[in-house]
Amino acid sequence: MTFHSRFTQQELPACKPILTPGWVISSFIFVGIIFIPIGLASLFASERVVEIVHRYDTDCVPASYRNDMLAYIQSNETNKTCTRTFLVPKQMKSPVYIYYQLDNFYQNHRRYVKSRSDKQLRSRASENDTSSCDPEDVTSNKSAIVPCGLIAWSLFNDTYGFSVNNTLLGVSKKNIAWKSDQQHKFGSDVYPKNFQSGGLIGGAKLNSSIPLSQQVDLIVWMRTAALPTFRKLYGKIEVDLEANTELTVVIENNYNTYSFGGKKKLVLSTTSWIGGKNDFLGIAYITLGGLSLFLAISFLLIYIIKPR
Amino acid sequence: MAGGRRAKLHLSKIYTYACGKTSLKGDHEQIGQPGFSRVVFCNEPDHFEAKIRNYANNYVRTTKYTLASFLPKSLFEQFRRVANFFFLVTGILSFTDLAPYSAVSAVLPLVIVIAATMVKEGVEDWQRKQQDIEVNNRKVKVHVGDGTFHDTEWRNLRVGDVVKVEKDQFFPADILLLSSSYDDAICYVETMSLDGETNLKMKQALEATSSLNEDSNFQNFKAVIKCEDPNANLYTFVGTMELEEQHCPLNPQQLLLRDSKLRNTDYIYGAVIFTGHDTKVIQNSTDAPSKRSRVEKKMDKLIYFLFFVLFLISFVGSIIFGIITKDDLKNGRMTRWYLRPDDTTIYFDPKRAPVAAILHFLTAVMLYAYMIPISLYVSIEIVKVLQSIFINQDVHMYDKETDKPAHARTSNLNEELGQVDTILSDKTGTLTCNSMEFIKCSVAGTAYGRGVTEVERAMAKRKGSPLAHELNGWDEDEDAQIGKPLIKGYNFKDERIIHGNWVNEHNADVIQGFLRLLAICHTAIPEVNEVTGQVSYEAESPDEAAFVIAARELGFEFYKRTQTSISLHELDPVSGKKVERVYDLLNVLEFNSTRKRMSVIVRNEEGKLLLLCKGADSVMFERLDKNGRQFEEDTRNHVNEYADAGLRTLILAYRELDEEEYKEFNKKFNEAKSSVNADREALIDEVTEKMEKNLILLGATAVEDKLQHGVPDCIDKLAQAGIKIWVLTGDKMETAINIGFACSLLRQGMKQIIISLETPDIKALEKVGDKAVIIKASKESVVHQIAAGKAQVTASSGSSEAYALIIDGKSLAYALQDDVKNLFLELAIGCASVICCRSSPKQKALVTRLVKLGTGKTTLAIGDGANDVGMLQEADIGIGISGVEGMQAVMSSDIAIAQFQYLERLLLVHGHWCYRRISLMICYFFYKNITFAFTLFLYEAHASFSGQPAYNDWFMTFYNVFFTSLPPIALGVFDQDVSARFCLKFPLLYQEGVQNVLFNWRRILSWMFNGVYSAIIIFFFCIKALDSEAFNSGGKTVGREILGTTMYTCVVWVVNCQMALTISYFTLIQHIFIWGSIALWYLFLLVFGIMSPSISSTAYKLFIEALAPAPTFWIVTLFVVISTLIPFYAYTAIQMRFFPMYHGMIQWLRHEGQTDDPEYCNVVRQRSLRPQTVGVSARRVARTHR
Repeated sequence: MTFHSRFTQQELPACKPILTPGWVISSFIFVGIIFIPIGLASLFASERVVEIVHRYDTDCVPASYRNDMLAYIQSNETNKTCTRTFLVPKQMKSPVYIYYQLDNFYQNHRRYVKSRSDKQLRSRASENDTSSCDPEDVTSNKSAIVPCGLIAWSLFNDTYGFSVNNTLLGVSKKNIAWKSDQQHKFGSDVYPKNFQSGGLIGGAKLNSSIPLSQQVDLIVWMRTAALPTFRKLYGKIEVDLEANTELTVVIENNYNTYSFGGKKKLVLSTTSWIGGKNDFLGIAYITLGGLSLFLAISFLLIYIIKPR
Repeated sequence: MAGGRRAKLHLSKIYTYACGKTSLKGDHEQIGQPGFSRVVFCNEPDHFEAKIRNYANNYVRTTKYTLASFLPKSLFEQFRRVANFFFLVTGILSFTDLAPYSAVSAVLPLVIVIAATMVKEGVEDWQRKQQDIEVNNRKVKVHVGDGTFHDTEWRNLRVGDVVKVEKDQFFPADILLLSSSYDDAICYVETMSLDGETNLKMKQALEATSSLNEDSNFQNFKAVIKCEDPNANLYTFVGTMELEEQHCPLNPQQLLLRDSKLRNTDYIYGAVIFTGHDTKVIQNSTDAPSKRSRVEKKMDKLIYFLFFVLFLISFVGSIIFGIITKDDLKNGRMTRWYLRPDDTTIYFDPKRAPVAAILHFLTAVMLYAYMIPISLYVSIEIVKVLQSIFINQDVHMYDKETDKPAHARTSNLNEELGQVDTILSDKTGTLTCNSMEFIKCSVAGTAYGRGVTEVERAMAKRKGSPLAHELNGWDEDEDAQIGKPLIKGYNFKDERIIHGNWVNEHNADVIQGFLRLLAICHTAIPEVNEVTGQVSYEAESPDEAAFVIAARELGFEFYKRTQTSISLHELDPVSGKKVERVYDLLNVLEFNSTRKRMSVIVRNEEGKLLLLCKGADSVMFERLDKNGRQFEEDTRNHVNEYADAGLRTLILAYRELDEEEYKEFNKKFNEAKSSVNADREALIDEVTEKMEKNLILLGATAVEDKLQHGVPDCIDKLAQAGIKIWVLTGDKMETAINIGFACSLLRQGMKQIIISLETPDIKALEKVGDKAVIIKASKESVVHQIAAGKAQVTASSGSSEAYALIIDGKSLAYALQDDVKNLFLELAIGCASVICCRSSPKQKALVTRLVKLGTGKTTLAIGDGANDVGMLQEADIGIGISGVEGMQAVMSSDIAIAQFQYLERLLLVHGHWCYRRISLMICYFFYKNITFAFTLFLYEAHASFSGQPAYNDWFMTFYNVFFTSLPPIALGVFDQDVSARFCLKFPLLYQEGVQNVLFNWRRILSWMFNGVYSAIIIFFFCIKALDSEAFNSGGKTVGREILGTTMYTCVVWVVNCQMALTISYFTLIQHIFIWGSIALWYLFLLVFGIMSPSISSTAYKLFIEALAPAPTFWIVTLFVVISTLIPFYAYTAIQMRFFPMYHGMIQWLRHEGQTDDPEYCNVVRQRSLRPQTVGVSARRVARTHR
């Protein structure tokens, strides 16, 4: 036997913790002490966020079409413009983010997710790389559609115009898309081509003189959502909205969610360090912290009442 | 060479029985018939006819694969595993559109896993190949013509070659002995590696060839041998040799088998008959049965269970998917228009929804396949190999004397070592050393010898404080070394006898006769070292050697043997000087198991004829003369005492013969010897019977069959661990019972149930000799005895009475018959110890099988000889003792250790650890994969079961390979619930394995449940925390990649932290692996994100741009991880404190520093599940109760 060490003899120095009452109780107390402040901070941040959610999918259909909303949305004759007004409940500090929220829309469906060509989006050279885009890959005369695929084809096409006291509010589209997408995934030399030119029009059309890297709405849309209810950034209003301001929104209600029973909502929201309004995290942290303290006390009592 | 050439020595003369002649009748008539077609042209390997026959060459291959067959064969082996085959199918399917992920990411892990296993196979086979090369390139002298011999490699040997094998060389093939350095062409072979027997066997060539004992004689030698075809029977051989128009019959006496060794003979010449794979030893080698551990078999069931779950959830998903897909077109109108259900592929076609659902089923199976831990097998293999290395490296199982560490020959059974319920042990060479020491004797009714036997020593030791010596552990070795005799085989201490003092005893003449008999009556061969003048002996058995050595030490030095004489240096009682005495050796009547005695007839220098005889007490006392019984009573008493102390006894007696009587005897004896009838032996027996009577008793010898060091203690520990120990031995009942007492398997006050056919009725029947009647009566008797024994055991059940079952071989044959064996087994299980004596190798294997199948528990067989091979292969685990005996047992064992006492550490420490490690590791593996797969499933439920995975392809691929692979391996290799010291101190801990508490269905299912539960918590908390609103201050919302990556991060954290909570043993390695895996994930995420988007796709700059700057990501991770783990943590805390398992109790003990408090230790020990019934401790307890 040549090699003989603490390692081969399995006698390495080791720490052998066991769950002593001291350990258990102090770990629970520790969790409680850490979690409750985090929970309070998150909850406070979430409370600070002002959010206006306005559902308009039904309201924006004229009463006469209410029974057959699909016909309304699919018709080219109908007037899609719809004006809504609502009050700003609290002061909203700039920037106020504008979102559209869709519901029951499966952007995470496998057929949908795969129906795009990253190569084509990235560079002009791969324009004809549309094999994954079926059925929105080529036009009837076999020339490639740019951008191809179902995702691009179904681009959201409702538009919003905001005004306060008849003064139009500018909607900025700056920085609504991830920088990495704009810089590396959508080519600055790739221009829309043959887009929405087929028989069946899906969603928005694109200005074929603007390269894809500048088509921020498309870029936002192409980052597919994780769940069937999702919000996407539409733009931001870069002025403060004071409390009780009456905000008028002119909505071009074009997008068809009626055939699959999806809701459409317009959301205006400020943000804090945890993002938008979400009380869940704060409440969950506080609950878990409280639970930990409760467990610590219970364990302490058990250990006192019934020592081993 | 020490002895020089024993030129004129016709040793064959001293073997009456072994050297007979064979007739050409009988078997030899079959030569030339089918099955007996081999023709060998001696000295003419190039003979044209030999070329036609094209016999196998002498290259022996033991490797599993060849270069060409490696790839297909090992691949086939791999894909025979259901899990691997499954992954092969999914791998192939992943190249179709069905795949939810990219093909490369699916195939890569499979390739890694298969490649790793194949490399392991390859390396193992390469080692076998190296061994082959070594063996096949050994050199042997081959006749190349003109009487010259040249060294040639074994592999080049051809049938018909004449070879010269020298002393202590192995035979390279099956060789027909032609002549040897002895004139009568005998030679001695050691067949240890064939049958494990250490005694030398004598072989003799035909007279016709015996004169060919010079190299030059072979110049023109030609002969044709016709013989049987290659077969596996080691003990038969039929053939004829045609030599110069002469037909000589050949029998096994002339056949030298490959792998046996030439001993005590300078050289032999022989003709090669069977080569390579035709040799008997290779024909005999059967593939060792491949054994798998219970844990692994159960794991297979688990895998099937997981497959069931997998198919179930896939099925459910597919049905829902089908329904949803069908709804995509309602009355010709598209509902989810963005999926273009009007212009779609078969996979999503609402018009053919059932087909889509069926295809989706395949997709789902592929997606949820993460539930089946693909890397489990390979991880287990790695872990087991490492575990084996630890076993091999353990210094506490390393034997300094023989320089042999423990050697796990297969790593398959490590964890099985932790579940042994019954040990079946061989006796000789396993419990005992098989080294005999002359320790006591009784001469002329006086007992001599003050040596202390191991049995007596063990008894004495027990009187000391038992707890104290348990703590000392290993320093006992030194104490024992002191008691070791300086001369091997001799441990006689008595100042009345040694240093020639015996001449002053009042029975000096009897003592003289006694010692002289020891020096003359044997078949040993002396070797005189020419430098020192020291004499050493080569004897057939260790007892024999012990006698000659004892005689030498006491003044009767046997130093020379010729064919007709034996020369001694004797101490003359009158002059007190050493004188040389030569005895003419007239006849040797050898020992065999039916005669149970051996005699020599010699003429001393005064011309007196003496018959010297030694034998077992059962045959000797009845042969005494009326006048020779002077010391009978005393001697009988002494013999009984010796037997009680575990010693082997022989009775010595002699008789003077008158010339007439001898002449007549010799005539008849020679007649009988030269007869070629089948009843030749009976004739010889008849003649010798008449001579070996009217003997005069001299005394008795007592030889200690030494127990191996530490055996009683080891057995005690194993018994404390609740392991049952059976002894299966070929020895006779008395010896077996002695050893039983010696190792505390039996003790006073234990009720012995002895099942034997040595009853007067049966004996009477045997004399009459009707076979059918005997069989019937015997069986009835055995059944009756078993039933009676069982009634006895049942009657006392509940009381603390312990029973011991002792059964002999004859009865065992009946007890193992199909209709009796269950009854027998029930009785045996009811008894605390079981000893089977006089059992054949076959019976040993059958008993092992009976226990294995009858109880359904794990059996371990331990043995050292070839007669144990069957038992070792039959048992769940076969342990070979790699001490002194042959390699046969070791070669067919699963693990080899040098001494029996290492079994304690092997089972209680390594077995327990390995069992715990492997069971925990498997449970954990299932847990982590279920956690992962269920998050995928839950996500599917939110993606209309379309088969879109929640995570990036590469994340999924690397989950098993990188981020969760090392911690379970560290668990499997290094984890210790309690240290080795405590494993040994609290042997009962071993019951955790026997009762399988760590790998029962309840435990496995709770781990699986933990996985499902963790997945649910992770998924729902993640989607709630990362809902549709913005997740950072920049107002960005959560996309698929962000949710997926956050969830994945949580999974990696949770499963790794779960590992940290599960183990209670952290070395630096554990810390590095666990925390390193988590760190590696972040590192991977970072590096992968930096790569070009064409590789990283959705993960591009994900971490640096989106996740890392967002506080939400971090606080979500923290929250999800803690909340997932808290329930398990609380559960463990409660269990550990209030319902600790046995190892938990010991951990508390250690933690609270009470391990040195004997009272407290006993409290823990008392939590025994059943009272201990055998072993030293039980003996102690029994004594205090009495």
